[in-house]
Amino acid sequence: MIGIKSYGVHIPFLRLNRQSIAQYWGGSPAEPGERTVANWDEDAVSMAVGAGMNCLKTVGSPGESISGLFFVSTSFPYKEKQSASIVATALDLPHHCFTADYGNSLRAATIALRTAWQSMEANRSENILITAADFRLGYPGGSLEQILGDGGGALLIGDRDVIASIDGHYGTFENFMDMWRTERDTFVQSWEDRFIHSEGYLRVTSEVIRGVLNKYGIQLKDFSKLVYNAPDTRRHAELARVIKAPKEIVADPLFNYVGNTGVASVLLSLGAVLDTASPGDKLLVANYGDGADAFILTVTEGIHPFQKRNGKIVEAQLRHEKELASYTKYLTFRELMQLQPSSRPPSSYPTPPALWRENKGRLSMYGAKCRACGMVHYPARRVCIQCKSKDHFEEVNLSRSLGKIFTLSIDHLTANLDRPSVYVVVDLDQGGRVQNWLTDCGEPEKMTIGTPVEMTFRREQFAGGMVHYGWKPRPIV
Amino acid sequence: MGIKDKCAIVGMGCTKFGELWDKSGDDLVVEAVSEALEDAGIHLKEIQAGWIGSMSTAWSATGLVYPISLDFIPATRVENKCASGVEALKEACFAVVAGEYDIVLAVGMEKLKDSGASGLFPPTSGLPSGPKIPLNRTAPGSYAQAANRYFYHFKINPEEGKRAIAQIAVKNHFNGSLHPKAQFQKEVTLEQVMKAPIVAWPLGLFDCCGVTDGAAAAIVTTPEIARTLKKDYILVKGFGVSVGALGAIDQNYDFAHWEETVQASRRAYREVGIHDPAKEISVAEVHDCFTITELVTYEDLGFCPKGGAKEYVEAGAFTLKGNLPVNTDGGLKAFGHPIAASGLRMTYEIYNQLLLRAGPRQVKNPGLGLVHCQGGQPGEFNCAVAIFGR
Repeated sequence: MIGIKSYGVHIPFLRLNRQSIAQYWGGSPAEPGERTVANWDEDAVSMAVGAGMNCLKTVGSPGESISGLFFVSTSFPYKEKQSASIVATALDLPHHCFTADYGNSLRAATIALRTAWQSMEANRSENILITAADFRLGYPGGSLEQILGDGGGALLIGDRDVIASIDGHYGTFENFMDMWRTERDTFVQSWEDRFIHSEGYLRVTSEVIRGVLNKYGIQLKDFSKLVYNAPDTRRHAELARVIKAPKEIVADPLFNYVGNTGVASVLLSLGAVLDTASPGDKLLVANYGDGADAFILTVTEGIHPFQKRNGKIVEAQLRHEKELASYTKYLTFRELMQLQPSSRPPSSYPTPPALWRENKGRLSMYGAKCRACGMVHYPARRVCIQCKSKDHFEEVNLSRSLGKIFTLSIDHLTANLDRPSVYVVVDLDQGGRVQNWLTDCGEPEKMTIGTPVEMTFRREQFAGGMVHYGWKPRPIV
Repeated sequence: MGIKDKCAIVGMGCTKFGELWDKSGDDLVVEAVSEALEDAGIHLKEIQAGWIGSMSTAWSATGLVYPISLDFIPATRVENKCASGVEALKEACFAVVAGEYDIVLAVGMEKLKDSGASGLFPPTSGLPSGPKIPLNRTAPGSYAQAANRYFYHFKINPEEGKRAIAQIAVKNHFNGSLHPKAQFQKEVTLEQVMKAPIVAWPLGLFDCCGVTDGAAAAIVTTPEIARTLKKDYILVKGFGVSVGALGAIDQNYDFAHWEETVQASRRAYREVGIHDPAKEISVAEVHDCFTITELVTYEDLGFCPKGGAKEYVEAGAFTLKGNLPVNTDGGLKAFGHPIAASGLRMTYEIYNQLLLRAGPRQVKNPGLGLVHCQGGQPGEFNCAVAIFGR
């Protein structure tokens, strides 16, 4: 039985109330509620890693059995150079893993899902991990800026021990200009909304839903939940009216707490549904963008033990939030508003040969455990600090290690985009000590010696024309 | 064995420290060396070899040979972060004691203000190749980590801890106000220090040393030659060096003491034969890049018990009138901190104290004087200690 084995999300810790954006520009909010804001050190790759870690955590450490890693986004950090390989390195997937980027279409997550499903149907793959994350910018002062949110989702697709089976699919394509970004655009472009929604979103999505029902000879009332993406809250409700879906079966798109997260949107909504699903639930998952996809899923008996083990995955992250201090902070994080340059000397950065050598250390976060005395070192080293044994180490992955703050300071002088920044020394429970910036800490003043932390994959800086990633500690809530 | 009393400093020079917009690094070398030569009463041509300490200004020993026009002498640039100055002096002394040369020159120089940055440029080869050094870290951020852990470790109320280190700033600014070459010749009040803008708590603006241009120089020779040159010279009693690099990645390091200082000073004490430094040292110049640095250093040099520095500071033990005056010229805090020049600037003050030339800052009947330089940050220090006497 082919289906979903696990799911995960990365919902950024920071939120921005739409009211405060509207207030800044002197208008009323485009939608109620708040949107997520990726922290200054997050991007689509780091959020995909976050969602992937979250997804794999629920099934132990299946890294070895993953034969494919798909990374889905419309906001890749590189135009030329694969991003999936960064995600796969960070997730420490096996070297023979098949990596692919799926991009451009807002429907790309279900395009990737269809590919994964079909490749499994053809017995061509074992487990495939789909990670999707987006990080799209609306024009400052425009409604999209309020409607969009940042976030990531992940699905582990396999043919054994699934929590929801994939039973069918129907899809279309449609060449249609509703939302786009050309090579030259920083912000999402869109055409006049009455046209794009009536002839685009509403028509195409309702057609694909009717199409899948016809293809499999089933009716909407056979479904316990209907999961679909939408440009915004209003169109989401409008589609339900067009297809005559009863309110109670329409899944929450999370627009009021997260926003429209682009390619990740449908995965977040599906995740929230799986958080509370019961065996036998039939789910219809539709996804719009340059055409549409519709999948039929059936929740299996496996869902209850899964839920018992993992709790409510989406809800846990929704609850863990902090209101961003101001709208202008968002503008500076996205570098839409330039901060006064720091008076610090420019920081140096690793060059490609150093980056290559450090894939395992910097991106996969491997340390070294001395085979003679057991001391764990990070970064890995040639000579043991304690017993001086040389080249006698076992590689240990520390990215999942928890730790505690040994000491800290709140630095007002740093050139980091978020100032002041909390600078910590962390002792990892598995051994090893890390000195780095603490990220996602709500109130710096509340961080103390002993605060428990976990590691999270982040974008450290853009320098030398390259994006530099690494692992940072963040407080565990 | 050892070098105790086997070499002498017969002349020293030190430029004004500060924001010396009208002077290049070369100018600073010329001025420091000229004063040292004049003090020693020798001619430039008598210099047989030279060492220059410079972290990010001089590129090789051409930074010494070029400004003073001493083409073709054996010369070497020495770099060990903030300990570079003492390291240059140590190399000069070792060469004389080994009998290789008779009269040599040690210079420390740094021209920092031309960079326009409030911080240090990494060495030219400083591309970080591993995940060890976090980007955008700052020196005050690192030292504040140690301060917070120190307070925690010794169960010191953080506010009281902040007040104790503030008193070090007040002391050093007072001492600096008595030195015409200091960068900041201005007293500050405890309240000013306590209320200054926070850089990285507990470190406020007045807990941090400035960014400074400056140079200092020493002429080293044998005691026999020194005696023929002049009456007032000082003898080198001993050196101790220790370099640590692993504390930031080793859970065994406590961030509440400077092990490098402990080890470097014990090496020096052993060489000199010092058993109770608090009693046997008359005056000390120690590394006070931040006030917390000086506080912890008192303990690790053995000037007071571990965890007891706060009480000693509150009792005024290290003021000019105290039992063991520390940083009588204002220290890095008030005299300024041109990285590699600091070690020789400290030596300049000890030299003047031992020769009773320190004017309003003069300590009574000085016997032994100590210099302590320490580069890097908690967990990875380059420490050099030097002890001098008559």
